[in-house]
Amino acid sequence: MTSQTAEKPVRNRPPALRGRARRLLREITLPGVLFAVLALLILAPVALVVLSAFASDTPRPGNFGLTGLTFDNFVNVTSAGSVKAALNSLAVGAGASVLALLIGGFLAFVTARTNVYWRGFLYLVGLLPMLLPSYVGALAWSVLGSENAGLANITLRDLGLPPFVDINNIAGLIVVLALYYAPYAFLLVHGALSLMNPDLEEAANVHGAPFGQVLRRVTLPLVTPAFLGAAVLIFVLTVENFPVSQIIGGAAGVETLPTYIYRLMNSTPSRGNEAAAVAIALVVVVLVVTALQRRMLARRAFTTVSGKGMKPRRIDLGGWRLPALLAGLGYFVLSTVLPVLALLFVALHDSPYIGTVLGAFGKPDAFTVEAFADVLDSSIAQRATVNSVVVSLAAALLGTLLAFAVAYVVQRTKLPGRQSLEYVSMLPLAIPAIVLGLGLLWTWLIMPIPVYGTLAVMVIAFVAAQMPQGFRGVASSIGQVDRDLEDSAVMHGASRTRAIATITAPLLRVGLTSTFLLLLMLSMRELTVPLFLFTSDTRLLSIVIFDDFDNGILQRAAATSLLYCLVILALSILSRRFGASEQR
Amino acid sequence: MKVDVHGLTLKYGDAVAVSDLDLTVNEGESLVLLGQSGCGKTSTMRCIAGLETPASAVITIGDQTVFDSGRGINRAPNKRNVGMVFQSYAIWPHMTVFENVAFPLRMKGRKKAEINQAVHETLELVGLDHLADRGASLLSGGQMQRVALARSLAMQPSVLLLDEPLSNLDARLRHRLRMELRELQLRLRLTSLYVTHDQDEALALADRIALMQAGRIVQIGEPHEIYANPKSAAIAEFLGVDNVIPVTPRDATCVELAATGQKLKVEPYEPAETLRLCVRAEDVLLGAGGQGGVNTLPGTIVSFAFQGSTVAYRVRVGDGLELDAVQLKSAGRPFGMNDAVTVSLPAGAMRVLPAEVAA
Repeated sequence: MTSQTAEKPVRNRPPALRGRARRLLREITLPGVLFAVLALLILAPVALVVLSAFASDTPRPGNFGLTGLTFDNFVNVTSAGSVKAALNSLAVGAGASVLALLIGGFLAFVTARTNVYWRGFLYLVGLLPMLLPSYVGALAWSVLGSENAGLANITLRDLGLPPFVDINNIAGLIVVLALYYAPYAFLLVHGALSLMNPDLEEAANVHGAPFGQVLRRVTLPLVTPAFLGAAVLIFVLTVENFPVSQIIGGAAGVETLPTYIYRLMNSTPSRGNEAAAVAIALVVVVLVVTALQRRMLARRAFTTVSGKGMKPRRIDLGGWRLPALLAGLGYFVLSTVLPVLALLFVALHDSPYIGTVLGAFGKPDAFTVEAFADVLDSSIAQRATVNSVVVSLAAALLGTLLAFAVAYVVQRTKLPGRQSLEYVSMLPLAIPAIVLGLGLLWTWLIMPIPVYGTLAVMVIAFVAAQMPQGFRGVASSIGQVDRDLEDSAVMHGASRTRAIATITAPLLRVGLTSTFLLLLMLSMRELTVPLFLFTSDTRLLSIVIFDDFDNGILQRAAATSLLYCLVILALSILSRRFGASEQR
Repeated sequence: MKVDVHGLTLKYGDAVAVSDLDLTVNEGESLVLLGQSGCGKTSTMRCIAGLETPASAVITIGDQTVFDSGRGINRAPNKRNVGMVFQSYAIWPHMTVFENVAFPLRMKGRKKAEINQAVHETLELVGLDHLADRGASLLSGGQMQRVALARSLAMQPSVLLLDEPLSNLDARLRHRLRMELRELQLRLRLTSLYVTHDQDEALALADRIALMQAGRIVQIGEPHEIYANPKSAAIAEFLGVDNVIPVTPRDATCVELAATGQKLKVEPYEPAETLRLCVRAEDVLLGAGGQGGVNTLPGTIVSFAFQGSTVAYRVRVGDGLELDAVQLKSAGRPFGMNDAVTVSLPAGAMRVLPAEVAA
C-alpha cells in the first residue's frame, strides 16, 4: 500500500521536504490550538494590564486602549499614597509570613515528631482553618475585635475587665492573615517532616550525634526547603490578598496594594490606568520573591523525601506535653472557635445592636433564627447560590478537561511548543488574583463575543485563574500512570485516541475526580477574581457576603457565611475522600 | 515476517541514541539485541514499534514499508501489527486477565466467539487459563509476564518485540521463564526481536545475537560464534571474560605484558593500535610453586573465594598485575593465602584483540 505514495509524481520539491512539512503541520495543530486557548485565557489579560499601565485610556469595547502611550501612570504610582500602600503590603506580607510559619511550623513539628497529647486532634487543628475562606475569618474577626463594638471587648466589659482588643490596625491585619495562612506552612512542613527518610537521622545518630544535634544538623536543614517554600507561598498569598486587607484594614485606613488597586478602580471616574501601573508593581514584588527563593534552593540539592511513608521517630516531650497541647488549642480557639461563635452570635442575635454579650444569654427572646430564614428566603441569596454552583461546576469541569489536554501534551508527547504550554499554564500563580481580575475584565469587555455580564465570563475567569492548580493536579496523576500502559494499547492495535479513552482516562479516574473537586472548591471560595466581573444578575455567594458586609448588613452576612462554610466543609470532605490535596 | 532496518539514526535533541544502524531479522528468527544500558538497543526496538520517530531510516516489516524518512512514510504503531512485551509488562490494572489478552483482538474487530476461543487458547499456551477472570492487579510478577506475552501472541503479530521481559523477576523464576520462552519460540517459529543486557539470556534465547555499543552494532553472529570469537576486548569483557590485560606486540605470535614486561606465546593476531590479552578465568591453570617456563609465570595468591563446585583465586604475577583464576574443586588441594603458585596460560585459550571495534 505504502509503495503507492512513492510512485506519485512529486511536484518540483524533493519528497522528503513534503513529508517533513506535512508531519510538522500535523504536529503543531494540537499544541497550537491549546496555546491559543491559554493565550486568550491568561496571556491576553496579562498583556492588557501591562498595556494599560502605559496608556492614558483603559480598554473598552471598540477601543484597545493603546492610545496615548505615557509613563504618567507610573509617576502617579510613586505618589505618597501608593508608596505607603506598597510599604504596608511588604510589612503585612513579611509579618504574616513569619507569624504563620511560627504557628504552622510549631504545629507541624509537634504533630509529626513528638508525643504531644491529642496528636491526631492537633493535626486537624492545623488543617481546619483552610475550610474558612480568609474573608469569612476576617469578617468574623472584625465582628470580634473592633475597638468599640467588638464582641471581645463587650464581653470584657461585661466581666468588668478593661477592653484591650483592637484588630483594626496593621498588627491586627497581620495576625488575622497569619491565622488563616498558617495551615499552608503546617501542610508543607508536616509533609517534609513525616516523609523524611529516618535513615538519614539514624545515620547521624550512629555517627555520634546526640538527638539535639541530629535535629539541629540534619533534620532542620533538611526541612529548610519546605520552610522556604512555605514562606514564599504565604508571602505571595498574603501580599496579594484583597478581602482581608479590605475588611480589617479598610476600617483602620491601612491601605495595601490590592485595596489601593480596588479603590482606584472604584473611584469616579475610574482610574484604571493607574490601577494597572500599581498592579505591575504588585506583580514585580511577587516575581522578585519567587526568584529569590529559586536562587536560594538552586545551590543545594535536597532529596529528602523517600516517599515510602516510613515511621519517623518521635521525641518525648516530657513535661512539655501539656504546654504544647495548650498552645495548639490556643491557635484552635483563635482561628476557628471564636470566629465561628462570633458569627453564630451575630447571626442569631435579635438585633444588630449588641450592648452585652453575656447579658444576652440571660434575656429571653434574645436569640432568633430570623437571619437564617432571611438568607434562605432572600431571592438575592438564592440566586447567588445557584450562580455559585453553576459557575463552579462548569469551571471545574472545563478546567479539568483543559488541564488534562495540556498536561497530556506536556507530559506524554514530544510535540513542539509543549514547554511554553506549561509555562503559560503556571503563569497565574505569579499574577495576583486582583490583577488577573482586572485583566480579565478588560479582555472580555473588548471581546467581540458578548459574554461580559453573563455567568460565562465568570466560568472563563475561574478556568484561567485556576489553571495552575488544575494542571499540577492532572500532571502529577498522569506522572503516576506508567506510559507503557498506553503505548502497549497502541502496540496491540488501538489508535492513540482510543488508547487514551480506554486505558489512560479510566486509570486516571481518581486523579481527574480529585482535581475536579479541588477546582470546584476553589471556585466556590473565590472572591477576588470575580470582583470586577459581576453584575447584579451574576453575583456569587462570596460576592454577596462581601457586599452585605460592606453595606453593614452584618447579620445576614454572618448567617450567609456560616451556611457557606457548611457547603465548603461538605465539598472538602468529599474531595478528601478522593485524595485531593489543596495547593493554594 | 522479515524485518529490515536500514540507515536508522535516532536523536534526542542533540544526543545521538542510534547512528546509521542496519539490521535484518529473518523470518522465523529470534534475534537478540545485546548491550549495556544506554547503548541504544531499546531505542532501536521502539523505532521498529513506531513509538519513537527516527531522524532518518527505512524500516520494512514483511513487504510493507512502515517508516521511510525520505518518502515521509510513518505508519502509526497500531497499524504495524507488531507485538510488544514491555519491560514493565504494562498490564492494564483495571481489566481482567481475559480482557487484557482480548484487547488486541477487539481492536481488530473480531467476533466475540472467535475472541473467546483465541484468548483461551493463548492463555493455555502460557499456562494461565485458570486465571482468565482474575483482576490483573492481583497477579504476581511471573504471571504478569506471561499475560503480557499472551496478549502479544494473541494478536498474531508480524514480529514480536520483547524489551528486557525477564529483568524484573527473581533469578530462579527468570531461569525457568527463559527456558519456557525459548521452547515457545522454537515451537511457534515467530519472528522476534529481544532486547537484553544479560549475556546469559542472550546466549540462551538467540538464533543470532547483535551486540550494540554506543548506538551501533559492533558484532553480529550466532551465540557460539560470538562467545568464542569476540571482535574486541570490550565485547569480550562484556561477555564475561575475566582477564583483560594490556599488552604490546613483539612479533606475529608473541606479545609482552605491558605491566611486567613478561613475554607470552599466543596465536596469530590482527595488529591494532591498542591490544588486549583476553583469557577466561577457567582457562588460567594454577600449579604448586616452581620455576616459570614458556607461558608460565610465578605468582602469589592474594585472595580466594569458595564458590561451591569451584574455587576462585586472585593471583599477583607482578607489580600492578593480578589475574583471576577458577579451579574445579576436584582439581586438588586448594591453595591458601600467600601461597606461591605458577600460572600457566595455554596459547590456545588466549586471544589478543583490539580494545574497541574500529568505528
